Amino acid sequence: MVASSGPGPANPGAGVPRDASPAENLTEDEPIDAAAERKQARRERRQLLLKSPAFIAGAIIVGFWLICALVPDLLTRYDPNESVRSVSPRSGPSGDAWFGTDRIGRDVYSRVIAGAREVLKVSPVAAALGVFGGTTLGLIVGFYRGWLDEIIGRIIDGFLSIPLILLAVLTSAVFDVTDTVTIIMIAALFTPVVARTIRSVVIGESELDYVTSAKLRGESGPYIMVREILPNITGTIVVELTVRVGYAIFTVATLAFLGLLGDIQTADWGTDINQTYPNLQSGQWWMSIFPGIAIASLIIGINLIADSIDRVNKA
Amino acid sequence: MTDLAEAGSPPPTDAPDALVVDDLELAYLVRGLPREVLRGVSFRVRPGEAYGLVGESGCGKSTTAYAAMRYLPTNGRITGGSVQVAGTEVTGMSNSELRKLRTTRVSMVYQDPVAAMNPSLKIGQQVAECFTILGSSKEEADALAREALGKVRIADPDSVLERFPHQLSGGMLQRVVIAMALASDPELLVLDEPTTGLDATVEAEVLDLIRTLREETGAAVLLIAHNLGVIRTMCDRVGVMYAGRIIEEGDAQEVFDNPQHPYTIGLLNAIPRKGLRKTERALYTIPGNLPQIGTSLPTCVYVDRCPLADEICRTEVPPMVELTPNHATRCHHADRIDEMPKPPTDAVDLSDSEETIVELTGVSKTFDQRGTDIPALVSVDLGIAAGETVGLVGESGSGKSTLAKTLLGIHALDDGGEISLDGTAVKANATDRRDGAKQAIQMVFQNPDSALNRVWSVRRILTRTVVKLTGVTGDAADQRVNEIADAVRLSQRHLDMKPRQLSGGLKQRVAIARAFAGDPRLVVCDEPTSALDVSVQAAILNLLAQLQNDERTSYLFITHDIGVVRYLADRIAVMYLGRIMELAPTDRMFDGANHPYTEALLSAVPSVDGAAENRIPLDGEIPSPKDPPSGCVFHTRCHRVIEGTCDTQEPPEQILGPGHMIRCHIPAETLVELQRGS
Repeated sequence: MVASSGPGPANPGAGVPRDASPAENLTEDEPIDAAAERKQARRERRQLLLKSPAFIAGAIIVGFWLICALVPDLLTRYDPNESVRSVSPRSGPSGDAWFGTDRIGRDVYSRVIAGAREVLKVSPVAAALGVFGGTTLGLIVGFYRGWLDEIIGRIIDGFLSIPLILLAVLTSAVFDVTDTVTIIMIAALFTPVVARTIRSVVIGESELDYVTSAKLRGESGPYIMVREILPNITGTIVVELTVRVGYAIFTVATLAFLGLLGDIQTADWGTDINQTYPNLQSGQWWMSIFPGIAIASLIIGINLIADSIDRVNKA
Repeated sequence: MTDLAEAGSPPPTDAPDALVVDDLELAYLVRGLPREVLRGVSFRVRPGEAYGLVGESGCGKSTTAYAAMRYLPTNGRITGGSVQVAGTEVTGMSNSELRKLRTTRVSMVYQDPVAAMNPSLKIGQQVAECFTILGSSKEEADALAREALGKVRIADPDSVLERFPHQLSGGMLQRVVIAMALASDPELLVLDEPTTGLDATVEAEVLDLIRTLREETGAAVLLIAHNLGVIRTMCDRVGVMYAGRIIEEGDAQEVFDNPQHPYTIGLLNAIPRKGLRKTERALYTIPGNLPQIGTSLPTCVYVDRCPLADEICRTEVPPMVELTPNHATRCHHADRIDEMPKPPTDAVDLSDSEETIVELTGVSKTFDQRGTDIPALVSVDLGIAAGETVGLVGESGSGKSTLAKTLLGIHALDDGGEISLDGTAVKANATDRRDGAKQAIQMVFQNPDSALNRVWSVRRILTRTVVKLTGVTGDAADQRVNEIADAVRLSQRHLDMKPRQLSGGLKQRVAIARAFAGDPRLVVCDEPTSALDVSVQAAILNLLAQLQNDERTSYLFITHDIGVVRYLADRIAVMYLGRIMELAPTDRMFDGANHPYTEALLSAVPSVDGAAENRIPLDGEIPSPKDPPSGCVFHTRCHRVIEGTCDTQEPPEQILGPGHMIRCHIPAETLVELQRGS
C-alpha cells in the first residue's frame, strides 16, 4: 500500500503533493559511508583509551605480569623451586638475590615472577565464567521481573551472606581442590554479584521504548533479551569482566594464603605469603612483602584498565 | 522608544543597561579544536525590560544566557566581544568577582527545577541558604525564606519549607527556584526555558507569576525559550537566533506579526497556528537541516536554506538592517522579503468514513501499587473510524498514555471492558493477540532515542519489523523495507546508519516507518513531535498527514500542543483523571461551548498570535487518581462548580451538538450562554 505513495528513489518529490520542498536534507549532504563513520568512532574511542595515562599504566603492569606468566625464565636466573647455592637461606635482598631468599634458600624474586602463572591460570577463566553466569541470570530476572525476580533475588541475597571462607573450606573438604574446582567455585561466587549489576542495567534498558516496540511486534522474551538488550549492555559487561578478574586474583590469593589451594611447593603468591608470614616477626620481611606487592600491583593494574574502559564507555 | 514604552517597558532612566552583549564570540573546545558556537551576538537588555531569545536547538541561545553569567563549561572559551552586566564588564572578571556578581546582581532559573534543587536537603534549608550567603543570620534567613515563598504565591509556605524537593510537583519546585533566584533582588534575571517541562496549565501559572514578579521587583529579564508563544506573551523585545547569531530583533509583537527575516518567516509558517487545519494546507517546511553545532558556515549563516539567497550572501556578512527603530533584520535582501515563497496550498483530502475500526467499550485500567488500587482509566468509551485522527489532550497524569498503552496491549485492561477491532474483541495483552491484531495496531513513540535500538542499523530495525508483522522474508522483505523507507523519505544511505548517526527528525521518520511497516489500521502517536524543533515538527506532521491520506490509517494522537492537535485531529477527546470529559469534532471543540475543564485548558496556551483573552486559572494540581474527588472528579478545580451537586453526584453525559459529548452537571444551554457571554 505504501508503495503506491512512495516516490521512486531516483525521482524524489514526484507524485508527492505535500512536503514538496525537501523538508530535511535527505540526499544532498556529502555522501558519508555509514559503516566507515562508525569505524571512525570506534577508532576515536580506542585512541581516547590509548591516550589515557591510567590505561597505559594499567596495561604496562598487567602486560608485565602476563609476560612473567608466559615466559618466567626470561626474567629470572634461578629455578624458583630450587635453593640457591650461592646465597644462604633467609638472606635479605642483595645483588645476588634481589628480593632475598626464603627459609629453604629459594630466590624470592624468581618465585614472585613465576607465581604470576598460578594466579593468571585460574583468575581470568573464573571471572569469565562468573560474568557469563551472572549476565545470563541478570538478563532473565531483569527482563521478566515479577515473582521470578523476587525468588532469585532472595536466593542471591542468601548466597551472598555465606562467607567466602566457609564456602572454600567446605569445598576443599569435599573435593580435591584442582584448578577446575577453584575456577568453578569462584565463578559460582561471582555469578550472583554480577547478576545484580546486570539486572539493574537490564531493568533500565527494558524500560526503553525499543523493548516495548519489540513486544508489540510479537518478539519472544529470549529474542528480546539476547538480540535487542544484550548488545546494548556490552560496555557494562566488559567493565564487569575486568573488575571481576581483579577480584578473582584477590580471591585466589586469599584461598592460597589460607592454604586451601593445591601444592605448597609451587610458586604462588598467596601460598608463599602463607608459608613465610611467621618470619615477619623475626624481621624477615622480604619473603612476604614482595609477593604481597605483586598481588596488589596486578589488581591495581587491572582496576586501572577497568576504570579507563568505563570512563571511555561513558564519554 | 515611544513604541517601546507603550509596549510595557519602563521609560528610559539613567541606570545602565541590565545586560549588554556586544559582538560576543564563543567556541567550545572539542578534542582540542575550537568549534564556533556564537558568531558575534549583540543585544542589550534595558533596566526592567523583558528580552526574549528564541531559536531552535543548537542556535546558541542557552550558551548566550550562560555566557551572560560567565557560567561556561570548562571547554567554553569567549574568543571575542564583551558582556556587561549592569555596566560591569564580565569577561575579564576573577573568580571571586564572578561569585559576587552571581550572588548579588544576576540570578538564573534553569529548565529542570528537579535538577536545580539538592534532593537531600529540605526546601527551607536551601531557600534560607540564599539569604545567609547574603549575610543574614540564621533566624533572619528563615523568616526571609518564608517571606520569599509567599512572594512566589505559595499558599502554605511553612509546610513547603519542611518538605524535600521530591515531595513537590514540578510547577511548585519551579516557584521555589524562582524565589531563590529573586532572593538577592537581582538586576537581571536569566530564565532558561523555565516552563519547558511543565504542563500548559502550570506553565501559564508560572508565566503569570514571572510577569507579576517582574512588575514588583523591577528586575530585567532575559528569557530563553524555543516556544515562540511563550516569548510573545512574556517579552517586550525579542531576538531570533540562528547558528550563533541574532538574525532578527525588535519589538516582540512586531517581529512575530510582521517578520522580516527569511528564517523567522519560515519558522512562523512552520507552526500550526491561527486555527490551521490539515484540510486547509500543508505546513511550510524550511528546506535543509539545522546546521550542526560548530560547523563552519558561510558569511550569511542562513544562506544554504534561504529562498532569497544570491551571490552577495556568500561573500559578505549581512548587516543588521534597521527597518524601524524597533525592528532590525540581518539580511542583505530586507527589501525583497515580499518575494518569499508563500506556504504550500495543497491539503489532504479525507472523505468521512463511518466504518469504525477500533472500538473501546467500558475500558478501565486499575494499577496495583503496594496493595492500593489506582484507577488510571475509568470506563472509557471511544470509537475510531477508518482514516480518522482522534486527538487526546489533557494534563500530565490525566491518563492519556495509559489509554494508549491499554489499547496497544502493553497494559492489560480490567475485566468488564472490551477493545474490539473490526467488531471482534482482541486479547488484553499484546503478546496474546493474534498476528493480525498485532499488525493492525502499532505505535510511534515520543522519544525516538528510546524507541530505536541503538546498536541496530535502520535497515535491521525495519527488516525485522516487516518480517515479524507481515511474514514476508528475503527479497520480498527487502523490497518492502525500501518501499516504506521511500514513503517516509529515508534514503538508502540512511538505511545503513545507526540511530545515533541520524538527526532527531530522521530518527522519528525511522520510527514512523517502523510503525507503518506492517500496514497498520491504527497508529498510536504519543507526542511524536514534542522532542523535535519547530521546523522539523512541520515536516513530520506533513508526513503523518500524507501517510494517512494515502493509507487511510487511523491515528490516536496524544499531544500537549493545542495547535498541533487542532491541525491534525478530526475529533478531540479531553481527558481528566482517567475519564473522557469532552469528545467533539475539532471544529466544534474550538467553536465555543466546552466542558469547563476544556475551557480552562484552551485558555492556558500561550500563543504566537497574541495574548489569549481572559485566562481561566486552574488552581492547584491534578488530584491523585488514588483518591479521586467525589462526584465530578473535576469539581475541586472547576471555576463553574455548583456546590451541592458537583461534589456529590457523578455528572451525566450531555450532547452539545452532533458528535459533541461532555460530562458536566451544568445544562448545555446554560453552558453555551455562560461561555458566549464571557
